[in-house]
Amino acid sequence: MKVFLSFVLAVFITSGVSQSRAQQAPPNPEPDSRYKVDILEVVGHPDDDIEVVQN
Amino acid sequence: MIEQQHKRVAVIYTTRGNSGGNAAGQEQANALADVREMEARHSLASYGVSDAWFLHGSDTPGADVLHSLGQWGHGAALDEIVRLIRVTRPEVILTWMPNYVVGENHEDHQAAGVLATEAFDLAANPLAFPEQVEAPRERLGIGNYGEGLRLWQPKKIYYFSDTTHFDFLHGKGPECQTNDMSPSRKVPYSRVAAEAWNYYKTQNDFTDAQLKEFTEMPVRLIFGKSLVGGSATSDVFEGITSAPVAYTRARGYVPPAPGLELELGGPWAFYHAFWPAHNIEHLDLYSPEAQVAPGETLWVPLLIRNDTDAPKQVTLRSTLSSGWSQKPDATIYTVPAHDAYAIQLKITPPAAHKDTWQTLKWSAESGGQSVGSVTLRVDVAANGLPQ
Repeated sequence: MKVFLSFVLAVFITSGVSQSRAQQAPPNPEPDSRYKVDILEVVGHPDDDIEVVQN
Repeated sequence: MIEQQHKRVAVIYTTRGNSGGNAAGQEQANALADVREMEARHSLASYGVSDAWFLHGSDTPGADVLHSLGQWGHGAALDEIVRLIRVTRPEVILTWMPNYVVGENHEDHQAAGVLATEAFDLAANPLAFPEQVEAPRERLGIGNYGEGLRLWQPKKIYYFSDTTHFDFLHGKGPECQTNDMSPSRKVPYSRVAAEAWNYYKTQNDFTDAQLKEFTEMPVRLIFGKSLVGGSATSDVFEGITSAPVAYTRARGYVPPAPGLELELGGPWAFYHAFWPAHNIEHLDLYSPEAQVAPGETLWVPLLIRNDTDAPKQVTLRSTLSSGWSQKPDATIYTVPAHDAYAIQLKITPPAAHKDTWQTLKWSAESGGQSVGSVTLRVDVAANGLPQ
């Protein structure tokens, strides 16, 4: 009987240990939202941006 | 649109504007670039844009897009633009039309459009500059490999043009009137543009009348492509939500069918292959055209492609308007199998054709069979840039 209880206890402890290892991972760092844009203009020269300023 | 819809905007300049005259002072070359970068930042701030990046391309006055791409280092410039798309994650890209046009036709403008189009198709591709999207091993540590960026697929791309004729733009994209009033400033958008332009003192050699005409023209955009639907002329943000979209592979290069073919070479041949490769073949908006001043030389590159298994002898014939001359005079070309013969023609118009459009034609035949023909419409007028 003692042997059986020891076995149950060992299984319980072991499973508890493995459960405690499954921790929630920290959140994946988001891309830096400070630089998120709606429109990206790609132009050749300073002053080319004026082409669409009126917009 | 930017103001009314509270849109965030950033700008990439592929050069710092280190060439050209200086209407404000003596600074030239790298010093001029330093001044122009400051002018641009002040101008952008005047209409609420704070994020701008200046790449390392040299300002190259000319009309051949391949020259700019060569001068800038095509791969290095593309690397930087893909990186900045992954940093800024734009919904929409606005850029110069990648096409050869009668007008200012600046090769740096065209090259910016080529690079932006390529970057649109690559920023969500993990094999494109993969070092940019490798996650850092310990982001708070030093000496990390990888840049830690995320893949990003922009949703739409639109173009604008430095053409001097606008007939081909009608119905090809949204058009915005510049006499609409800015709600916050209570002035027309043309006035906002004029104020922004005032910061560019080194380039401001316009008369008041020229500046008025320039800033009061409607903004005509040309639809490039959309991954979220919408029509060509509808609002730029139609169909766009905050949800990311999946990578969409462009068609890529499609080799020509086997056979003999005559085509315009140089930038025209490049664009002929570039547009379908990037699913923007509708940018073939008008017949090939060029501009030359009377008495000056027009460069016309022709290409004879021989995608057959045997060498071919090809006879070229030109049909030029009266008084035009062409060099060289050679008319018979031998083209090896699976090769191309690049013909560099120099064409000179007569003074009598000043301020007219003329159509030049070349045709080719081999073994009694037509190989094809090409035409080039030429505006006989001065252009400020070398061809």
